[in-house]
Amino acid sequence: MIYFRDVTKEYPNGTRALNGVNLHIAPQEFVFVVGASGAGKSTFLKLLLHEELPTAGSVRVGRFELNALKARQIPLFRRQLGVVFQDFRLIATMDVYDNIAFAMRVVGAKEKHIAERVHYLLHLVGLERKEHSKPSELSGGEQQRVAIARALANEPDLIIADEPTGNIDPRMSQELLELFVQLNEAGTTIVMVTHAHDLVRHYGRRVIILDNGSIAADGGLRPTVSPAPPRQSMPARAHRKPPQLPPEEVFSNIWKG
Amino acid sequence: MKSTSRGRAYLTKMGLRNIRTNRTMSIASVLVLVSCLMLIGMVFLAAINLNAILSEFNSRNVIMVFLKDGTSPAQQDAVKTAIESLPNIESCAFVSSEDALNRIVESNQENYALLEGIDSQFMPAGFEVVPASMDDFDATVTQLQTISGFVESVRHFQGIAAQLAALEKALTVVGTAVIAVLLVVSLFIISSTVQTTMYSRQQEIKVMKSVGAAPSFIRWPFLVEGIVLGVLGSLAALVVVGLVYLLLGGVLEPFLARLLSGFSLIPFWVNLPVVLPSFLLVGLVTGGGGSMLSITRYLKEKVYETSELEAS
Repeated sequence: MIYFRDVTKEYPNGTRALNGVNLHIAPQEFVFVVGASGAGKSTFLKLLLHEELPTAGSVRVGRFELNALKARQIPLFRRQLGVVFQDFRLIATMDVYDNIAFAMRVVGAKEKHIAERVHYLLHLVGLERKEHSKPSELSGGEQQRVAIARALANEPDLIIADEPTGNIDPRMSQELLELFVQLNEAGTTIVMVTHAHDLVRHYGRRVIILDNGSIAADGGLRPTVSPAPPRQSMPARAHRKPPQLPPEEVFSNIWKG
Repeated sequence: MKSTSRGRAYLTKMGLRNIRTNRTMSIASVLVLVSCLMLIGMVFLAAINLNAILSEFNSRNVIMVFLKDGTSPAQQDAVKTAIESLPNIESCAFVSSEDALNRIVESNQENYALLEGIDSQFMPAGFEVVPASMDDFDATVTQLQTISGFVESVRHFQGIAAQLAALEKALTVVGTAVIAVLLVVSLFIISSTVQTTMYSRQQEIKVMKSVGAAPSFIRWPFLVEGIVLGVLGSLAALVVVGLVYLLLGGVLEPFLARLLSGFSLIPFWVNLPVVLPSFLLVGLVTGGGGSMLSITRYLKEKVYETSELEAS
């Protein structure tokens, strides 16, 4: 699904954000990308979204060789992805329905099909009653769920999430992760860049740790607790806060596989 | 329906809806366009009216052939025949002393007291000669001056005519320059207004890009918005210019009528075939073109904020 081959990215000001990165993410994987500020996470995402091109090496996402992508192919490439941002990036002037439908209108879908799909997605993210609300009338968690519904609109094979839990409360964060797990189990590849180490530990998936532009660690993390039941059946009081583990245990977990 | 035309229909609706949603900026854009077009329109209308006034002056460039006192009607006829036998004469009309006095009284009604003591015998009778062509004006004057016998003097305003022609030329040049400068200023102001609109909506453009909208797809609603605002601005400007023209016309017309008896401003509707398409063209070019120019800049921007680069 995703190949980084000897990828180096150096900005004009001399900052080397990524340094000879090699990685492969297979279809249907769920991968967390973690690292401190300045570790290269944003550059990793920019390269994935074809916002930047590598200074050296090559990036391939699905059938698209990003180094050789022509300008007119960029929109086609982006339609294959579902992207979720930390700041939601909803269009303030559109209601929930239109924000989700917009991604389908971009690809020229029929209104009948759009209506069916948007209603299904609203049900999936639990926002059936907010169809006609404007983003400003929603909580942070609700806005992020709309953003996820939009990301899923065109049934992408790959979802890229940039700090999706950064602006929402812990309970919402866990619900969002559960949604990602469900999608992943249904066959969607998930790449999530995050600072939320507690969530990373809780779900125990493959973790790529970036440090100073290089991959410091890459391996499967054993779940610290069994994953919580699906959101729909989880009463609010039964919610448990993810356990806080010291960073060194994260590393040891990675190496233990 | 093809997917592209289906998309276009939706985007056209989106562009129209955006006008209402972003109504403050929409009103600002229209007002800027109205102000610019109003200035251009008023300069244009002033220029064509001045042109008409000058043409009127020119057409009234008659040669007066005054007769000596005591010329009998038979002698007057002889002079008239002599004048009409000359080439380049379009008309030759007799103006008696009484007619001459009446004309002065008519055109100086407010200062009638000054004319109270004046009798028609002070006014020489004569012929009002209109030359067929202004090209042979000097030759015609010379020929009239050579009519011997009862002609006292020949008076003409060729010098004034030449000055008026020069003034007309200068006005055309200055008017064109002023309109050109105003057009450039309008484009600049409207482009700035559109850029401000775009700036407030760059987030929207980024979202469109991130979900894979093609540049033409992103441009379309902005193009629709720009064109509609341009056309609305043009039509609003047309109404404003029309009203201002009527109001100013009401004030200026009595003055102009006194200056140039019988002259009236060119009615506004007469200018519509020129003004309406010109305004619409300016509205379309500045609205549609301004939108396209501005959005091209924002389309080049990245989906991520620049500030995020530092955090990479």
